[in-house]
Amino acid sequence: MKPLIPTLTVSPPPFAHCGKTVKKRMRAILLAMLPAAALAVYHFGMDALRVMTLATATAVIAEFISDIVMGRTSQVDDMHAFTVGLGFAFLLPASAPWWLVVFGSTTSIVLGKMMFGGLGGSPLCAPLVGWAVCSLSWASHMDIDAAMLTSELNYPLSQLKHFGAQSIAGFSLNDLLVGRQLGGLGAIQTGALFIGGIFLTMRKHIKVAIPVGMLAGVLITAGIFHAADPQKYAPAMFHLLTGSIIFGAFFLATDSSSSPMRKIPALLYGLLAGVLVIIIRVYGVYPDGVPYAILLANLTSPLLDRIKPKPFGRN
Amino acid sequence: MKLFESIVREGPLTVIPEPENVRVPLSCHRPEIKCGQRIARGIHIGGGHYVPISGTVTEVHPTYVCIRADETSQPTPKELNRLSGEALQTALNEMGANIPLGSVQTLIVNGVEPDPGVTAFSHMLNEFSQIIQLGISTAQSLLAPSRTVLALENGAPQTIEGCESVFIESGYPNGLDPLVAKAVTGKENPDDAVVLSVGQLFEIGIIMDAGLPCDKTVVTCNDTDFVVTVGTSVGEVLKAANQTVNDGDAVVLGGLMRGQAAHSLLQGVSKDTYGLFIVPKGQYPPVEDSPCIGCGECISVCPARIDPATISGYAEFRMYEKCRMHGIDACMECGMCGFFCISRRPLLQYIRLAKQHLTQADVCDPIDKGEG
Ligand code: SF4
Ligand code: SF4
Repeated sequence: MKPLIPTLTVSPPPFAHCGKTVKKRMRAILLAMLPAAALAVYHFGMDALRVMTLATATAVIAEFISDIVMGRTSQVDDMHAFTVGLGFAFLLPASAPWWLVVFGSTTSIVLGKMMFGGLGGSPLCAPLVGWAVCSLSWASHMDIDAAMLTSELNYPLSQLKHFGAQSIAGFSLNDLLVGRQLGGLGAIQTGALFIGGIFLTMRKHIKVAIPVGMLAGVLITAGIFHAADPQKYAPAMFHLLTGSIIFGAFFLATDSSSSPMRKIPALLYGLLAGVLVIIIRVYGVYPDGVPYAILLANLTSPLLDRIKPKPFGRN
Repeated sequence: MKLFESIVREGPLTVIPEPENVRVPLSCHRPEIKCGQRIARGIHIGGGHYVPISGTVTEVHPTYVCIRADETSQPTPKELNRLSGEALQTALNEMGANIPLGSVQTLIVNGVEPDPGVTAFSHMLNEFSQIIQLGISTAQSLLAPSRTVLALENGAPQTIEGCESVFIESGYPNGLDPLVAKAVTGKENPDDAVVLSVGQLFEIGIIMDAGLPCDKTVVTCNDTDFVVTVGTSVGEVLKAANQTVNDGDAVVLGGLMRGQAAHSLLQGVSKDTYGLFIVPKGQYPPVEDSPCIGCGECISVCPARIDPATISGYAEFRMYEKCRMHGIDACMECGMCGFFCISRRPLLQYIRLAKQHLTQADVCDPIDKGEG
């Protein structure tokens, strides 16, 4: 039989597409993280570069091996593993030993992503899974203060935890914005991350309701505590610019598979995460409450997603 | 492609002359006609398809019938002017008009373009206003509405005598019938309103005028609007529009959001075709059988307020009853979800598959209801 000339492609509609793909989204997220990564290298030097390179390389390789073990076509070229690795590195102290980086990054990918069937399946934000496992297993290596003894910078959140609100007077908001503080090597570059987050929001790569909800939750809760007793509790802006709140709000909480899909649930989820951060910071043992706050909020997202409107014409 | 672009095209329509050979598309059934038979314009082939030109049948196939034009058989027009009420309605529907029964409060003339990039409807309103007017008055006499509304995209200049104009926010999918009905009446799926598109009214107008089923349609192709005889091959329209097709391209009848892909350039245009588009190979990222990443893009654009991500997931696992629980019936098949899915999942395909299984399950009950 003679083939039809020309041979046409046949498919169901729609025949057009907006052009946004997973790969492009991941590329945008990496671009948004780039300024923070650069500042991290500026502040912590080769140490930071070492941790970031090791974490991303491990994540990519771990995903590739998982794909082989699971017997499926690898989608590692969508760069999600790369963002997970970098996200995990951002939460580590710059002095983290190599085995901790490798272990945590692998755990992030294997436990936080591939176990659930790959991208889209995980109910938890992947880098936080790796972080949680490491900080439970090797608390002293993950502890920012202990790990960064040699640095002349200070960890504002542990100062706050151990020496009270007076001790943080030495931190100016400007210092905090440009990352002149200790914490997760990338997560504390708050100014740079904020710019990256705005970029992602404007490009509609993340649901704006999540960072808005989370930042509002932090500001309101911290504001209430501070208003109740300014001597004892730090001001809201201090909280906002320390630890990984900005990073969490724009880059971790917005992880697509572990956050709610509709607007109102997303806003509530953000609020919940924000409120939890401050509660953990005030009452918990962890100086920075962000990772656990987001992991807890992750767990509520299937529940929150049940808040939905009636389908068209069913009122 | 832009979803929110308003395009204005004016000036006379380009008429493509009646072709020598037509290929009338059928909906997969074997018609009662034979090769070599002489056949007149207006004869019902089956499934709501009619002979667009008089001639000789040259090929019969479950999906099409080919006819070569000649003058040997004469059509017999019906005298529709003498009929009224139910008799008129039956006569019209027998010629493919599809007017619903009964009387309604509001008759909505949907003049919003049905798909992005299409300008056929507003062009018809300009150039065929008399025929459309005839269609409207016929529909008015049958449906006895107390209010007739012409729905137009924001800023469109057209008016129709006796119709109140209502402007619809521009941008796809606001021009879909259910959304227009909501914009006009304020209710979702109102029972006392009927929406007829400009294309449908044009068809009714032609039937009333000629006493024969509609044999023409207006098709937007390459920035021009053509008057095309039903059954004209896609290739001929594309040639008139100076378009070339290469291997691997998709040729779309209708619009890019809701249309249907042509399988060959010989395929004929049907009476509901309002556009003809070429999608060059590789212009858009390929559709993949990839998992949903839960980004929620599809949900936020769905005009039916349902969750295409979850529904398509259930459809993948043949859990069709679950799809029903998640409101699949509300889907308007607008294609927005597939357009925005960053995973490039064939969402509308999954939805159609589930819908088809559900309809089948309803018809012949205890059989396959999926595993849900
Ligand atoms: S096609 Fe998709 S976006 Fe459109 S109504 Fe159906 S589910 Fe919603
Ligand atoms: S747009 Fe695609 S990937 Fe995103 S939630 Fe919908 S189906 Fe999933």
